[in-house]
Amino acid sequence: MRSITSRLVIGTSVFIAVFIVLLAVSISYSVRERAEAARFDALKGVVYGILGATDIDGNAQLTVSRNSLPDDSLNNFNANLYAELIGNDRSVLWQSNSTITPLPTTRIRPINDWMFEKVTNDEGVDLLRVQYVIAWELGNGEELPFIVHVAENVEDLSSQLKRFDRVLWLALLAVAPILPIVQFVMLRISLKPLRDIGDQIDEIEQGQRDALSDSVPIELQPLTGSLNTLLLTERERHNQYKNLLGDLSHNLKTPISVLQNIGEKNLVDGKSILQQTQQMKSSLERYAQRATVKTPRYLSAPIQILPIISRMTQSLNKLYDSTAVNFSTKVDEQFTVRMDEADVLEVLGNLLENACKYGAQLVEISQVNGQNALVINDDGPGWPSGDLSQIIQRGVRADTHTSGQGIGLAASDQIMRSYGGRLELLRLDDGGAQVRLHF
Amino acid sequence: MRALVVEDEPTLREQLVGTLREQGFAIDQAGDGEEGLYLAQNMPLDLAIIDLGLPGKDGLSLIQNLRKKNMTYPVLILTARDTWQDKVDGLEAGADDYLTKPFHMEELLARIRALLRRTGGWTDSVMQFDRLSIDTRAQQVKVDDQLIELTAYEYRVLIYLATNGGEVISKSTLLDHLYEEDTDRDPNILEVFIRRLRQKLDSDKTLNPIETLRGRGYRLALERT
Repeated sequence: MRSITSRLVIGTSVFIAVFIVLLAVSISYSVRERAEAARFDALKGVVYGILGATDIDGNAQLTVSRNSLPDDSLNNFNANLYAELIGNDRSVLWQSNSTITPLPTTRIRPINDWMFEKVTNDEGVDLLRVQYVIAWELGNGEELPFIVHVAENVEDLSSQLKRFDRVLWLALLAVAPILPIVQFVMLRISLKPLRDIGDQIDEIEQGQRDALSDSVPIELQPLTGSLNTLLLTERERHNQYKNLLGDLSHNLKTPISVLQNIGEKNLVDGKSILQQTQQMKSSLERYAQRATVKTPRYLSAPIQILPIISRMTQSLNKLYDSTAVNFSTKVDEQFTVRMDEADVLEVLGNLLENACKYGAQLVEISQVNGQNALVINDDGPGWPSGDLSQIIQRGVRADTHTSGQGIGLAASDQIMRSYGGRLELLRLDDGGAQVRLHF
Repeated sequence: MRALVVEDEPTLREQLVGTLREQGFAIDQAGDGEEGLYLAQNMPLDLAIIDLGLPGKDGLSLIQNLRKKNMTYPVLILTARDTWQDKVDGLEAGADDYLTKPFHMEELLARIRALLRRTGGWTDSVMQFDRLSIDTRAQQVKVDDQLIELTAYEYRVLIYLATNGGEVISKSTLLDHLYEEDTDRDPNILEVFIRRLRQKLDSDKTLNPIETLRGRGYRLALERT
């Protein structure tokens, strides 16, 4: 399901449907059960009343006094109440006047047993009946057992209950859709901030806006905050690239013109051609190398630096005779940095290659305990004299006479800075050079 | 020595092929990855120079494939891709050296010579065998410090035997590594070169630099010093 609203509405609707059904069923059942219980109570009273109107004489002759019956309708022919007294042998000892059609057969039950049952008679009429087995004490100590059987036509009750059920269901079904509708409306209102953000992003794309508004619900603030940071970084990076590209094309136009002239005029001027190509090459080195940062810091997962150092030293051993330079690495496996692997390779490649190029025999790479930093020591000729902090700057200032070392350092420094770190150059006591990478 | 050049830019490829031929290489060349791979796997090469940005098969997978087929000759990558990620990837794919464009032809040649030396187990640019010394950079041959004048092909034969140490090289192998596909190759011409080499290097018959093994080929009979 691709919509939060539909998920919620459909889920709630299913729940409401099940709930309503269960509610209706249980209400209906309770009402019916209560109604029938009341009727049974009344019938129980009729049983007692009939017993009160019953008399058994010394000869075990049973008589029931009509006038003493608890309910006068028993004497009428078209009543709804029926009663009979059934002997042990299933003989009818007495029947009320109202019992014109036979009642359903009684059941054999123990003495003093009450039985309440809902049955249908031969004509399909609903009856509630009560059965009580009594053992009447005769004067001589003997007992006469018989069944008091009272039944009531409850067709009216049944139809009442059916009407009640109908009303109940209709009422609940009418109410049921309200909840999903309310949910839907509430959701539309609650999700409005998200739709607003969507609109704002459209506005940003069309240039009518710079950033997302920060008057958003608390739950959305991390989202808009991150999006704004992303926008800002991307904008800066875009500018950076635009400027670099602009500078690069500017710097290439002149040499291209010169070469074009040489070509057009068919001048065989090898020296000029070499000069111009050297210019173009320098421009490339200066500008293109700068645009190498791959992934912004907040999107970089931490990566282990040891495997990267290994790959780099192995590659350098191929490029620079392995008998000339030895690499010694003392870095933990757990040393991690939050940088793109390609950028780490670029930084390390530039720094370690410098050591190889400038006559080192042993290059040691180790970590600084307690700091998020690496140290690269080489036993080569060391840094040129002068202010160490200027070496990187010179590379940055892009002097055409800067050596490859300066440009590599500047590029590495720029990469480190874009991740919030930096390079530090130091002189070693024995004359070698140290580069400290602060991550 | 036989070299493969795989480069899709025609002018650059011409320049490379021309320069290498001047240096005495027999050349196989290709302008795309598929043909390059075929040549790399089927020609008796001593060296390959491969560009990465090729149409058809990518340069990196070309190198990986030829290494899988146990081609052990040195491979130099010549490419515009210049990040360290690219270099490390290229070297791990099986290349032995990596040169970025734009480049100086002199640097390319120096690196090629270094690669071929390393194959033969040499660290120096001068191969020293007892009284015979071969300066591969200057392309000069000396016996007892006397400069010997050799023709281009005589030099190539000597270099090939020398680079392969004391191994026996058959005539057909020697022909394969000295001449390109479509040249007329008569094995007898090797006998001429060998004879002339012996005459020039060993005028007093004390050195015996080249040994003939009947039915098998030739080998440089001198010890490395």
